[in-house]
Amino acid sequence: MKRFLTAAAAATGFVVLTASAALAQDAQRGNELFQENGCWTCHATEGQGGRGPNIAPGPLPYAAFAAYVRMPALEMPPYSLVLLSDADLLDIHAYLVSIPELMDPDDTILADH
Amino acid sequence: MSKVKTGTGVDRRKFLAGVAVAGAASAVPLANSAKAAAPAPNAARPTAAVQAAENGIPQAGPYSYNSGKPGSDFMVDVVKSLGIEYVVTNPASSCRGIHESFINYGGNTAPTMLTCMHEESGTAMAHGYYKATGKPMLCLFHGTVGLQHATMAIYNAWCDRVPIIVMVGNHGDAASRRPGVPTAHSAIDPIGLIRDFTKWDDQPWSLQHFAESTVRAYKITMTPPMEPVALSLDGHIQEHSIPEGSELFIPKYTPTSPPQGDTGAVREAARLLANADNPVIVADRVARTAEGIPLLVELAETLNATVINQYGRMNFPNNHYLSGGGGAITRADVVMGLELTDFFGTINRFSDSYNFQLASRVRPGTKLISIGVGDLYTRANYQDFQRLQPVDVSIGADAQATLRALIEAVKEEIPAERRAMIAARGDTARQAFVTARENARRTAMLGWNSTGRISSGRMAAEIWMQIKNEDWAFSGDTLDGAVTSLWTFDKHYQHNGGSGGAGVGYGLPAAVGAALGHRETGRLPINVQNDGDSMFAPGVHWTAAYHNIPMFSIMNNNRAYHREIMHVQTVGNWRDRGIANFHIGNEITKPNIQYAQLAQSLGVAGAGPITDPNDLGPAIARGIQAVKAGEPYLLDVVTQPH
Repeated sequence: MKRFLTAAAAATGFVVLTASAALAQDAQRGNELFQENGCWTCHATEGQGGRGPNIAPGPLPYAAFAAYVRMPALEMPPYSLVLLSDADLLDIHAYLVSIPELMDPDDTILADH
Repeated sequence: MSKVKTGTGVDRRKFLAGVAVAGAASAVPLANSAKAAAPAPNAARPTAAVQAAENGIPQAGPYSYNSGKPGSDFMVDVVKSLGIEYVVTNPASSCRGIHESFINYGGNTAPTMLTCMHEESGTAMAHGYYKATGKPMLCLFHGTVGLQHATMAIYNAWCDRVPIIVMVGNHGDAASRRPGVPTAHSAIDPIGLIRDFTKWDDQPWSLQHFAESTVRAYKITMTPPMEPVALSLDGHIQEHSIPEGSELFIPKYTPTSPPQGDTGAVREAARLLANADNPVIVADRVARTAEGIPLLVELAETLNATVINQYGRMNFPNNHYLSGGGGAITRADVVMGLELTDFFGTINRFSDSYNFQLASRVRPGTKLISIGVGDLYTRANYQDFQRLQPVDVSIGADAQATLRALIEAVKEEIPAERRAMIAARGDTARQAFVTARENARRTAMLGWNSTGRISSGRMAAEIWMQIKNEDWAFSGDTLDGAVTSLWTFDKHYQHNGGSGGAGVGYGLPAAVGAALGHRETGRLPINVQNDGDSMFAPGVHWTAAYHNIPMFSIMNNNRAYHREIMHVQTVGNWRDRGIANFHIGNEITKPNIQYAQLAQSLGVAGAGPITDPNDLGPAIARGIQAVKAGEPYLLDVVTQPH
């Protein structure tokens, strides 16, 4: 899978950014784009998953993330450059990176579950 | 079987006694039941007109119908003989004869009539009621327009292998039926509409024919594969008196034993399972009764085989260490499917992508065993039988009825040298189970504090923490599996399965039917209700209120037909057109529906919408108190899409 994602990223010529570079993007705008572009309809508003898998917290590194968004392997609809620019995708990734780590279930009502 | 001669001069007491003797073993309250159940007369003095009516001539009305026992009274005797407890109806003039007999002659007890506001709701109520109780309900509808309303729900029951007895009114004789609407509501073959998804039907042309066909219909619908059956009731046969000289009797009903698997085939299946390194059992509609669950547990423990529960029925406790997820299939060397509707879809992975991806989920050489009644009865038109999956052993039999023989055969076939390995397999399964339970807790944390739209995990967790010490029963949406991964399901009545045919509009009325079934036991019915589903026929809220059916509906209100949004979004992206317009035809907003107010207007207490997850727990607690007090209650919760 990892090899596929890397190859896909190379074939489509996407800019590969490090996680720190992605963090420099606008997470707030990324949140707006996440909702506007319908990412939330499958992955829920905070990327926690629903019909689609959870993608945050701890999203894929940007290169793999972008490769998958452009050329998804399974049921996810593809987002081409016509639909979503690289800059917007960077912001979306920044939003997902900004989502805090999961709470400990023992700190919630599920403590004695 | 005693025969009873009837006619104008019929000895009423003798007739009824004969019917009771000829009927089934179930107690059948007959002639005097209406009198016994009637409320005490009020104390008002009779008016002069009433006195004149009582003392004058004629004592009977001017119609010949009064000249003997009405035909529909005998029909009610037949229904009573089968122990049917409820008749769900939306009133129909073509059924007026038997309707009048149910309430006046039959005393509206065993069966009791339930008023539904849409035939689709009534049928779904019968569907949910059966799965909660194991008892079929009778649906009484107009033969044309009523049945047209009921059709989708009958298809759901067909796909879900649920017994329902549909009776529809019809006037066959063009020369004597009422003109106008009653004629427009008549048909040559009213049941033709649903024949592709009913197991059997008939149009009785006499009362004796009705008696035989009703008992036959009951027998057929209750024999696996259980499916809906239908009878067309001619209006004249209902409304007219029993013809003079009739010798009517009610045939005895004897349940048909469900078919057990062929001995040789069961032995072959046992050999494969006993010698497997990693056997996996997949169960869909196995546990017809409570007895099915311990049988499946015993088989699984004998083999230490993972059980994947598809929840068509409760089947297997999810707190058992052998309860596993779908991923187990990929590691299996033997997969046994029990009562699977879709074996092909179970062992193949389909991705709804532009290039139609289909791949096997099992390793090459994996042996496949099928036990189920699906091979015993199939119709052609509707494709609910799914794609053909070749298997290595195919046993056309009722899985639950076959389990005992299979368990014994497996015990005999396990080689001594494999017993230690099988025991070790159990240890591995226990460890995996503990890991899976912890993963479920952690998964519930995803979006835990989301406001505006509450996450599936949070909602499932908040409900569970309020009900876990109650005697509860679940129906409805599992919130993408959050319910089945966080709650403990270990009793046969706790999970009512799905609709079968995925016909939307099933959830709410099926939950009302299930709640009716749970009412006598005092269980707490919990219905996680999808918003769009509830709006097909919300009048069933009123039915719950009118008939005093306590139940707790918690609205999973994501304010759209979200699955359809995803479909449109997928195609839009394939075509590079984007999703800017995806809301068109899909969203349920502007205005947002106020579900609590809607329920209140129909007699059901309600609260919400809840958008802050911290408000959810207290709101659920208030709802539970209301339901425990005997009320239906709805809590509207705005949720994430899924």
